[in-house]
Amino acid sequence: MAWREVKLPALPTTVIGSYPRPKWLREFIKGLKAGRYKEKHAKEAFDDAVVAVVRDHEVAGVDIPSDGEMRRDEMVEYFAERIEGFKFYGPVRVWGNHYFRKPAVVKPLKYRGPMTVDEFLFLRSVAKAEVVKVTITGPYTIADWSFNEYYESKEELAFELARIINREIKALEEAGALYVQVDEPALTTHPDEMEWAVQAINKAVEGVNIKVGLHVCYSDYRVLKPYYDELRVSQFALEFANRGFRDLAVIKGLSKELGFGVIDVHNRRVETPEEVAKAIRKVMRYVEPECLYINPDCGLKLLPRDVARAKLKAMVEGTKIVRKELARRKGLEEVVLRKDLTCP
Amino acid sequence: MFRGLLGVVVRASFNGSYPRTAGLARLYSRLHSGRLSGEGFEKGVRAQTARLFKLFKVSGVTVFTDGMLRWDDILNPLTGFVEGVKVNGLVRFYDNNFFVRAPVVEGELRLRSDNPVPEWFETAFSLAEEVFGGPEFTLKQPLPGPLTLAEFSVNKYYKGYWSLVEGWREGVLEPLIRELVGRGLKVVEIHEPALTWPGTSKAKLDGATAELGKLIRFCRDLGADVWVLTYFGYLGRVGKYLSRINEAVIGIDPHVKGARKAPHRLVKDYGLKRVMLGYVDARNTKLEEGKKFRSAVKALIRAGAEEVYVGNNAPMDFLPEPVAAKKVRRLGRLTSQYFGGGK
Repeated sequence: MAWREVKLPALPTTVIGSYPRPKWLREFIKGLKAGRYKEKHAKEAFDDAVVAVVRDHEVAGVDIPSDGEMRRDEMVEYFAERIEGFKFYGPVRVWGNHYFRKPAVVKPLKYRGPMTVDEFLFLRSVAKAEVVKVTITGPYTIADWSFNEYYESKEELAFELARIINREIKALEEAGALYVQVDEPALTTHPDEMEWAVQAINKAVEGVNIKVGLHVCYSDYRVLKPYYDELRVSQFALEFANRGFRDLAVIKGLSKELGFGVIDVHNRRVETPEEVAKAIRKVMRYVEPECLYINPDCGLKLLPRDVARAKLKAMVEGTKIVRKELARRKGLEEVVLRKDLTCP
Repeated sequence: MFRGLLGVVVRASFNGSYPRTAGLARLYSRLHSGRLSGEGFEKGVRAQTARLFKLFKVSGVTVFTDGMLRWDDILNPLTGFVEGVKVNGLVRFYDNNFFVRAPVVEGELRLRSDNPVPEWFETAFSLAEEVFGGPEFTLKQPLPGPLTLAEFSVNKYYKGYWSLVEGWREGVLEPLIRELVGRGLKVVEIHEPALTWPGTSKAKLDGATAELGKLIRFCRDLGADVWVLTYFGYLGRVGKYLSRINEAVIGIDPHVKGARKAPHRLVKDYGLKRVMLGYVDARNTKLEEGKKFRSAVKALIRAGAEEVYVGNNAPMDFLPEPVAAKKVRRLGRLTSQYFGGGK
């Protein structure tokens, strides 16, 4: 399907990706793992969960929904399970009592075939929105969050992964996806690796002709800043609510779209629409509204579902307050989905 | 204890935290969801701690911590028991996919009297005695160092950075250590990754080592020995200031990228006598090679180290528990095989 510039309301609202799994799905997964349910029932259960998530997004008024990553236990694990060459030794802790199964690379990596295309096709079939977001964990983060027992260096591993991710994004483009977000939460954690990490991401998006966003969170954005122009993506989706909207000046000079994180995903307190509006007004000192998307800081999966739903609603309501002001002041009511590497 | 090459003692040591087992993770999950009482949790944690001590015993690791099984990370829950602190959002723990809750300092720092760390130490000590059947072990208490605490703090109260560092040392660490020593603690294990982390400005190293020096003297005056563990960063960065803290056992992480000098060169050039070599990589599943292990330790001794410990370079939270268990067993076996100081 060819690229097209779809119209969106000004300050398009979206999600970063993950969303809490419905309780019944968690019970089903437990049962599936324990052998109480058959594998053939899994697709139906996951599909139903995606319908429920998309409905939550739509009821909240989110313009660009995702499938909530219902089929993914974890963002690195999911891809490591589908790329040949990984092995799992067991879970490792990420914070508090939260874990992920950190994979180990024990032999050469090989692309086995599409990993997210079916997810995208189903999401598109059930969403009312014309544009949906598909998330892919980036090569640097997969490399950084894996144990490397095989490749000579992390750099070599990341470039091998970049080649694999590139094939995946092209498969999504071929299937008709318009908007892919590469998730790179680890990107700035080793400043001395930034030079090649940026090149690995660029390799992963090489020859791609759809909108590509880059999500980086809980990071020192000063490390990212020198690479704003060099990264061949059209949008940075960054977390700011968790840090109380400090450090906003770091986006001064950004010549791309900003996906602005206005919802703290690690705090159960639901933000008010006024707080969201205030944050958006604050960021507009640095970014033109035509180049601004509104999203939570990160995936919402660790929150209770009712809290996640309420937070999305507050995010959309807060955005609407500013939209009215923009329409009144600037006559700005719509923007188009852009894939350009710069935003005026 | 075995006096090996040049009469130097080499002992296997387990430092900092041990990964939560699936069983312990379940205990936490049930506690948080209200399906397990505080008493039930306590019983479970004691069983898990005893299990860990048994692993140390069969591996021949006789210098160890309690695995910090009751801690979420090096800062918490300690910072939650400090007046003047509000525990807030998650921040990345250096370059790891591991996050800690940062303390927001809103008032004068003062250790609360209901902090449970001394009681936890006492409980762990009794369990270790039961498992080892006598006093043939050293139980260390890991604590965050004043610089690391300050670097993770969001300071809304103290006027200057050094007042904040001093606040952590005088208001929290020193009273806590005094209480711990009163309960039988002999070795304080100070974790100071901030000291070698490239993100900590070089301008701070002078003041930081001076503060650490004060803390070390405080502990020694109480009769407690001190270890200062640095990891993720190159120890040579502290270079000229090391003499201020080298009364303590200094932890060296040999797995640091871009280190300009090998651990034995650091020992030689900075005159380090008491060293913990973090040969066991807590951030990779690959098991350590025996021969390289032997030559790395021998090089330290030849360079002038007089008291040598070998252990994990960093907290072990970054590994799956089954791999961590393998590494602990291997640490004990290699130390014993080459130096007689493990099993």
